[in-house]
Amino acid sequence: MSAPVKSGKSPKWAMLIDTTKCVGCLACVAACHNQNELPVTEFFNRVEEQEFGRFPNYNRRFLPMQCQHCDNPPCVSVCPTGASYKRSDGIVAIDTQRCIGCKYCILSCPYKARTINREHGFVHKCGFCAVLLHNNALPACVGTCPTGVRVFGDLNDPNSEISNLAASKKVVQIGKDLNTKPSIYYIIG
Amino acid sequence: MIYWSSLITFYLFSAGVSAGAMLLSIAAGFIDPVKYKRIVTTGAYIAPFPIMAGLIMLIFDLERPGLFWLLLTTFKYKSIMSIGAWIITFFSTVSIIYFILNLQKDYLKLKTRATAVNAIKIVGLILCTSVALYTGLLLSTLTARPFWNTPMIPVLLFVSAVIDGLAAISLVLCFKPDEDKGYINTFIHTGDFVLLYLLLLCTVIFLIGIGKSTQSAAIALGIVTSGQLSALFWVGFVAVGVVIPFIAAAYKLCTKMRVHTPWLNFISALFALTGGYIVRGVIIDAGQLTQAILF
Repeated sequence: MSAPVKSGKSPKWAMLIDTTKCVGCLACVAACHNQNELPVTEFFNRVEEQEFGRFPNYNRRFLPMQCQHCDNPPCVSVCPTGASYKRSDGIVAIDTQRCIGCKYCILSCPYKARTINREHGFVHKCGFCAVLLHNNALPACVGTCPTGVRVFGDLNDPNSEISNLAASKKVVQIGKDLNTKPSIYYIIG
Repeated sequence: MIYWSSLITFYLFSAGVSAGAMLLSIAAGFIDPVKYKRIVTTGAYIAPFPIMAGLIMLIFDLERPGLFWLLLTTFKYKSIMSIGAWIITFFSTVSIIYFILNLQKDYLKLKTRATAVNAIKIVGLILCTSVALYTGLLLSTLTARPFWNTPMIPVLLFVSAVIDGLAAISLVLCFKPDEDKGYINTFIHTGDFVLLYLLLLCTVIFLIGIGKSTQSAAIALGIVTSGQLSALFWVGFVAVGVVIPFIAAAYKLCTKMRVHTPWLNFISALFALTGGYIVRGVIIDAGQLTQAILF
């Protein structure tokens, strides 16, 4: 996998998750744990198993979920100390030094993307592997996926794969009507 | 999953008692400071203390209590919690000033300027209204939580806060001998009757509204009306907190029993306070147990 291509201006990171390709191997969850050095009880991403239909017309899908890096993030507006903030590149980040652990952001997030660090008491979550992005590498979950479920890139670059995919008819944004304006797009199979 | 424990329930309850007691004290003072003197002074003496206990609980519910001061070095106008932190700071200060003003009128006998006292009362009125409202707004502005995300939550908690304030005043007055020829009793029972009637209406509108809302709201309603919180809701809140005190108030008004009957006032006030605590616990838990269904 190549590193995300940067356009001339500052990037606007986004991800596409194609659930039709997801086999539920959880490699993304393991890679995330490894990259962020998380304790076993804390998760930045997860894969939800959804069952639908009625036997014999029955099916199930895997739905990878994580922080959606919303453009109108409820977690940022509710934060009383400014610990949660939106970066210019679209990433919703947390200044753990300023987090008092009030848990208001956890309750405000419709995606259940945030978790408490039990050791230090601050809230943390997926940061699109900002350190890897800085070094021109892909986020751990994207790079590790064996079936190519995840596409990551810069929405400000009109020639990027993510820009083309995000504009296609088949993508949806989860929880769009809650006015969160997510940066993760889904193809739901 | 439960993130906000019973410490938050206690905080919401104590803030409601303080705000309600101060609201009634100032309001009664504006209506007739001589006739309702005992309401005015009792309310003023109660107001600063429950919220102080609540604030301690609030700080200990934080994962990092040592950093609570960050709330007071930041102001985020988009965050109801940040706005609320400032409101309760000002409220606590003004409630202590109001407490001292009443104390000096009764015991210290110092000279005060009437305009300054009135200014404190008007500021106090705005602040206690803000405290009673913000606790509900804190919950109702979260779109992720269908049980909270309704405009009825702040209204319901506001009415409940005034009831709790009145009950706290009534409870304290039970321990003082009657010397008011029934004025005070009429005030308390009329207040109870009107406010509990309003609370009952709010509850019915809230339940119907939630039931006719989204699928996730209906699940939350199920938890409250027939699920794990149903006993607390129906017995603890509806019966003990609303219906019994309402019947007691109606009975006392209808039978013109305006003489002081401490035992009935005591039980009625205790029930109303219990209901006020339980309804907050039910709301806090039900909101956290259910989440918006996204897909």
